[in-house]
Amino acid sequence: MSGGLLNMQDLRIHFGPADHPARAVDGVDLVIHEHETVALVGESGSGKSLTALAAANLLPRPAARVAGGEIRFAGTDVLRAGSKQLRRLRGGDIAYIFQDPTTALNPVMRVGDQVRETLAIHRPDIDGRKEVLDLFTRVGIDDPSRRMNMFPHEFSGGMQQRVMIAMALACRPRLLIADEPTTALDVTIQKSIFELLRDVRETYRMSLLLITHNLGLVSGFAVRIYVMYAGRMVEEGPVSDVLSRPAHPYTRALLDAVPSLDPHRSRRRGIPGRIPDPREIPPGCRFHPRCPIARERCRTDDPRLMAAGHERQSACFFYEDVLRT
Amino acid sequence: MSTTEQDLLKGEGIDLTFRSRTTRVKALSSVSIALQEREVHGVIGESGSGKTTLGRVLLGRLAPDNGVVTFRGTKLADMSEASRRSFRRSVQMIFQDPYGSLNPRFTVGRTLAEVLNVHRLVPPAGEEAGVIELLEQVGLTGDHARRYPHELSGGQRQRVGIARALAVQPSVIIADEPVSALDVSVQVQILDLIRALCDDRGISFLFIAHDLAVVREICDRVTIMKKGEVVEAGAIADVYRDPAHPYTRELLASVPVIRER
Ligand SMILES: Nc1ncnc2c1ncn2[C@@H]1O[C@H](COP(=O)(O)OP(=O)(O)OP(=O)(O)O)[C@@H](O)[C@H]1O
Ligand SMILES: Nc1ncnc2c1ncn2[C@@H]1O[C@H](COP(=O)(O)OP(=O)(O)OP(=O)(O)O)[C@@H](O)[C@H]1O
Ligand SMILES: [Mg+2]
Ligand SMILES: [Mg+2]
Repeated sequence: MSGGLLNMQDLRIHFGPADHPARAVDGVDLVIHEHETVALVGESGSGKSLTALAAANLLPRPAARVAGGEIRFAGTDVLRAGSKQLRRLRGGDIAYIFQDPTTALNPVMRVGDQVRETLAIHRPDIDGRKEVLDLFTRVGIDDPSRRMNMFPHEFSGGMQQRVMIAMALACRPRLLIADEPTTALDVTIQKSIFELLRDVRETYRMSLLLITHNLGLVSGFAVRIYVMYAGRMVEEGPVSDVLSRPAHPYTRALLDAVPSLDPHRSRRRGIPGRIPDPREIPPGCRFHPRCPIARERCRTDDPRLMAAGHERQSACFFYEDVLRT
Repeated sequence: MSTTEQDLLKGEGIDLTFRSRTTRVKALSSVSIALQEREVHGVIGESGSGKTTLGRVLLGRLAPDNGVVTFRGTKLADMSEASRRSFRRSVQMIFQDPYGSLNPRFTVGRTLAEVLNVHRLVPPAGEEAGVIELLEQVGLTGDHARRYPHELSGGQRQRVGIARALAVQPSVIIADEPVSALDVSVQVQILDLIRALCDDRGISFLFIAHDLAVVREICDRVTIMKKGEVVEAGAIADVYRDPAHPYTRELLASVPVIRER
């Protein structure tokens, strides 16, 4: 394996009985280069969080089993790392902003103290209180000197997420994983958080993995995009190419489902059916039961990512047809 | 705000401050809003602007410091115990993630049957028939009655949340971010359901959301809140075409759009 800051190869994460496992992540390859911003999109339950959690060795053990594959972060073998390497990995090298801030924050500790605790571990030399005030201001928390003395339950959901982001930035990571970081925030704050992320990724020269449902957030922010479905990557390529000319019917369907402010745009469509349960992944192409262009071959053969034009990959036998539409 | 014939659920001049020994948070100040018959009325605003608090005040669960809530022309404060009971049935609330509000140890069928029983609304055909009818109204089937909440997808759970609200035959549903946690691919189905319940059954919705594009799709009117105050309200087409308040303009300009090349 070579090239990236983060390299994942054929990652498999299983739950449940070994003879009939839930294949939540089912052979994933993912590369993130130094200073690169990559987006990971896909419906709920497709395995995005598990993939990202595995990168930081934060999988919910022992429930989650790594059933195969390899992960390297800056040369470290993440899945076989010792406890000292792991501490460095989780605390400093990789920061993870979780989807749900309520479970990530300590309910009985003042939010300011929680950020200061992180600072004390990773940057003991600095003035904690001043840095917290500064971080809170940067992430858009009003009246930071008062707010830092409040408890998480006194914050609305959006405000809690801002505290989480401050905490992640406090350890100045090499890779920041932002797992739906602004889902609960209003659009103006979302915009300013993305401006903030843009700013800090330049300042600290971080790599960034953005996990999101919102394709609008991806364009103009990430350089490369991975589209995940039912435990697999189904498309990968430069953001601008993938969003303007998708090479997989699933990507096309996701784009058609995005709500729009434009009153002239035709009514958006949903995707029929639902993502399969990881215990019952259909044979052949896992998207075929919901795919508008599925043919006989799709019911039996399991497509893997294949080259689909310059710097692009698609896991659709008929990607050329999709590209043409 | 003037009273019109169609005003169904109305809040006027609502003030509310949360107080604890150490802090005071003014969550609503002089908020007025009127939900009309047969409308889906969007409420949009930044996090902490008071949307959920307003919803709970209109639901009668939080008493405002000042201001009045009126339902079909009667002030909540003046209601007799009997009309209060009927008010509590008429106005229901659903949440962003119904997971937290559904009992994880009850099957969907049992959750719905319980509501029917508590309110003595079991139809003559029986409890099971009542449950199936509710499930079918939200696009599920009797088959789902045997499932537990964790055996449902997010979209299906939201349908169950809506079915539970429908069980008591409400005239208003306050929907607090009902699709915010759902994939765009299944949002459409829930939005279509809400629209149909309004158009075909005459149920009015207060649709709390933070996605302006979603609100444009489904709502007739919209109220925009900021820091506990209403900054703008009006018909969707007007507000989106010609926003009067700078904050509305800022909101509209902040919506991320997919840039096509
Ligand atoms: N602790 C667990 N036990 C059993 N199954 C799990 C567990 N954690 C996750 N899964 C399953 O693994 C699959 C992938 O989950 P994951 O959280 O990675 O999805 P996701 O793409 O991040 O979805 P979302 O957009 O909802 O966050 C899902 O089907 C989920 O139900
Ligand atoms: N029980 C409570 N005790 C103290 N303060 C509260 C309580 N509930 C809400 N608040 C505060 O009241 C204000 C309005 O909160 P509310 O939950 O109504 O906002 P919201 O618009 O629904 O936000 P969000 O979009 O994050 O859900 C916030 O400042 C919040 O911190
Ligand atoms: Mg996730
Ligand atoms: Mg709220």
